[in-house]
Amino acid sequence: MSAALATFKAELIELLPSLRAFARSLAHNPAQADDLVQDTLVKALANVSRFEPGTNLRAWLFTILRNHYYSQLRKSKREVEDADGKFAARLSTRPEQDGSVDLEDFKVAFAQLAPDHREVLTLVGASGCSYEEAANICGCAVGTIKSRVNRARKRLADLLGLDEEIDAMPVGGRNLEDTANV
Amino acid sequence: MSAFASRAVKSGVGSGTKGISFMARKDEMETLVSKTPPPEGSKGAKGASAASKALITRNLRLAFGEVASEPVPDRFLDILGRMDEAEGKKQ
Repeated sequence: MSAALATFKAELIELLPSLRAFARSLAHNPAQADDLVQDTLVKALANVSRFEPGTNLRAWLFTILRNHYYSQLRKSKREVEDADGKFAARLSTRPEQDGSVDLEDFKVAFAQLAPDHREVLTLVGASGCSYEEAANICGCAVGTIKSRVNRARKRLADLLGLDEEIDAMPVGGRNLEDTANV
Repeated sequence: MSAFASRAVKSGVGSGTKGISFMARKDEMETLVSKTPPPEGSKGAKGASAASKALITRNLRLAFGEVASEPVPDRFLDILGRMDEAEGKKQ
């Protein structure tokens, strides 16, 4: 094996954990996420000659993974929408009184977000990508990434019941005046 | 994912009377399903507060780190191993 290929492989192994985490944030279950990673690896190896040594391998791999994810999503659009509907029906989170949220509740709310929102939050908020790197991976402008991150955060805050007026959310649920208007 | 969801549902049980918790959930479902942004002028319409941003980032990193710290399945390393074999045949 050539030295360049050996370096490529070593870096690839190092990136596998974050590639899996990125896949998990897009796919709705661990098995689907690992299938995404597997397909990404196969594609990456088949196209290894197209990768320029010394450039950003993480961005290259993340790009392959998200493009593959979206092409699969388009193929199974109906199925995914149905699944999202089921998740929405089960969500029932409320922030703690001290304003913190349970990590498991957070994951449920996160899963409600649209794929492009889950994607930017994971890239920028969790995996430490710069806005430029995220824009490169998603194939869009830096400004688009910035506004998408803001909208995604706002949506997630709404889902988690953060930033709500104190009197709109008494302990134990909404008050009777609120529910009467439903 | 179902484990996360069932836990979240449990956390809703026992909040107030049966009628109120049901209505609260129905209200929440409608908010979720509508997928439209809140009306202009509502608190925080410009974006999440700084405290919420910090909380979101912290939880994103926790969730990401949780998966990233899991051992990598052998099947991925097997795929990379096959790359060595293919390379060996070429030479």
